[in-house]
Amino acid sequence: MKKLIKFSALTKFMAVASAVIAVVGIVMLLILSGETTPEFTFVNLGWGLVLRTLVAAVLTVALTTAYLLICYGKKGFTMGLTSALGAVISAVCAFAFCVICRAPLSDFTFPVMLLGVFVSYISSVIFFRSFGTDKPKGRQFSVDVAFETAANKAFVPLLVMLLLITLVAVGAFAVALFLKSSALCLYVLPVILTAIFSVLVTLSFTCNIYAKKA
Amino acid sequence: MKRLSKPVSIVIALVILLFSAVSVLGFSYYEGDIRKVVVKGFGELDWGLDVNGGEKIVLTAATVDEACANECIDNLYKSADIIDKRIAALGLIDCNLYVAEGNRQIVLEVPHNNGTELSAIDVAKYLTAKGEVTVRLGSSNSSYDIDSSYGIVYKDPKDATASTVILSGDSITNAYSDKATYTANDTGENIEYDSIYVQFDQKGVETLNNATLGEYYGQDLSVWLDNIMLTARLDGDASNGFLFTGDNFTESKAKLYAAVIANGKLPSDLKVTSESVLAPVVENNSAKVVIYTGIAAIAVIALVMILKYRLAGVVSLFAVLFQFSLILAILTGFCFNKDGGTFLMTLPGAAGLMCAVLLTVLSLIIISEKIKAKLNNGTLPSEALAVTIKKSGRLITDINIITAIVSLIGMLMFGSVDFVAVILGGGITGGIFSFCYVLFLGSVINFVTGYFVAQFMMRSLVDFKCFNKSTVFGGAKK
Repeated sequence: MKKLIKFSALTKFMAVASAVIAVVGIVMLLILSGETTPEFTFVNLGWGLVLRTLVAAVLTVALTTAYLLICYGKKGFTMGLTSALGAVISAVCAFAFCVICRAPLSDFTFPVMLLGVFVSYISSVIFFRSFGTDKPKGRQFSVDVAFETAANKAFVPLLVMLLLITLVAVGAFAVALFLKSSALCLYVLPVILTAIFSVLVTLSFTCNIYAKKA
Repeated sequence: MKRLSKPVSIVIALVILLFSAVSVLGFSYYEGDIRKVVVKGFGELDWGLDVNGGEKIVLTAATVDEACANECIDNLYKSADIIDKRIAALGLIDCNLYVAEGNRQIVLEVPHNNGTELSAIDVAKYLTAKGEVTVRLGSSNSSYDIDSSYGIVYKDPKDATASTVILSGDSITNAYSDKATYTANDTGENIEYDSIYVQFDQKGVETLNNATLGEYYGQDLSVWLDNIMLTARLDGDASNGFLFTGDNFTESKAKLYAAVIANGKLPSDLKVTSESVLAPVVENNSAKVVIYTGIAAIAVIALVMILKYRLAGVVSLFAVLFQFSLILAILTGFCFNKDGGTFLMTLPGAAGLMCAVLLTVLSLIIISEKIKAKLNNGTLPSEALAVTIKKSGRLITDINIITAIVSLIGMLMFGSVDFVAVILGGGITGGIFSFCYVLFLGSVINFVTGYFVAQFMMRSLVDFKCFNKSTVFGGAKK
């Protein structure tokens, strides 16, 4: 199969990149917190929301892991944890992208973060299926080769989906610009970056962890 | 795999087109000047704060004493928590509530479409009312007002009603709205009316029983919420809960009052310092942005999919249309909800709709890519289709179920579910809820649109001689 991206070479880079993006996001949030932002920001949301978010994350990990355990047996546990890791990284980086791109931290930030979670989980599931069923032919093959093949195979449908997300986001940007809804325009770049980053970090970093553990 | 006859694909396509047209455009007719809605379309969808705007109320702590600054701020957060629980009990998801600690203020934003016949500002005032319930002797009042639904509101007790407080709301244990019935004397017909059932603790029940059977026997007792009279006559008994019935109670008003009463009174006095109209977040064009973006998105998806996967791309267009219109039909209530409001849609909800559409597209991409790979290996289209459909079913199921789990948890945690509000306190976030709700619908519907519709159409189309070619599915030319 033709390799689109060498994912194993991207592993360390994506891990470092996600850490850098998260740190830059947090630092920028601290620096910009004194600036005028919409009243309805994360700062004002209180502990109720933080608590609900934490419980939601724990329940999501537990239920998705339970489902993967039922479907894939013992491997499902590793699948559940690695896919959750990918989703968390994607959500944090999506938030950081919103801060870095100076999008207002309002109600619209949540969908961007949830898009990251959604794309990350989908990427994980497609990879798990490819890794479990489409091992390279031949008796001897290393984990790296199996990972590379599965990641590239999973990347093909995701690439088309990324293209569509980008085109739709750009279309929305054009419409919003045409109708002078400038507030929406600010979320276009975070949406595109989140989608691309979620796919890459999940396939190259968290799926690689799974491939080595499984 | 069993072959499907040629007309199947044509029938499916026609049904999808017809259903989509009705679901998006709706169907209504006029009887004189009155518009009768048969099917609700996109135009009838209720939009939340970000698209339709609302009203904003700012409350400030009535006593700002530097000596008890910490206590004041603590009370402010406790008040916000109670208001949040009231919002949850009312089932109003698209509300913004926050504490501006520096200014010692509570800010509440309520959408125009708030599910009641009252204006957003009236709902905001009730939700942020002190919530002191009192049972008083008689029903004398010194003033009255007309609320935004043109109902009379009796205010300010006077004479014996002002001076004789029989019971205060501290002994209320629960309150809920429900229908009560009475039998008409002349026809014997059972007639339903909206009421609030209120249950008191043992001490409260004893006080009320002593009052109604003893000292104030035969006299009317009225129930007041702060300075507003809810009912001029208290009915019922201790076993079933006491009944509050107002002359101008409607289902939504009874629910609103019950939401305020059930969650107790605020710990400190708050005064309204500002009321303002809240403009939509994205000017007045949000609904147009959603419509035009939706059209542009479907056009882009169709173009890319048809260019890349040819016939499978055409099938994906029908699957996407079906997905979009089915979700829309559920959100509006289609023909089953002619009189009530629809799901309160927000811009995050519209983003959820886009993700749901992408879910269907992804299912089609997975099927199409597998077909392409098989065709490039020299397999015949009909055989490639049979193998692919069998193989991709499991993956599409996995994607749908994982998405459904994630979105279901989001709905549960960020919606107005009572037990979650009781355990975790406030934190309803309409944006997350509407995104997750729409995505959940999308993941469930995608079992039909992303898999069954796609496979039935493709299996039928491949029976046409002109379509049974590798290139028609985007495969290499032989």
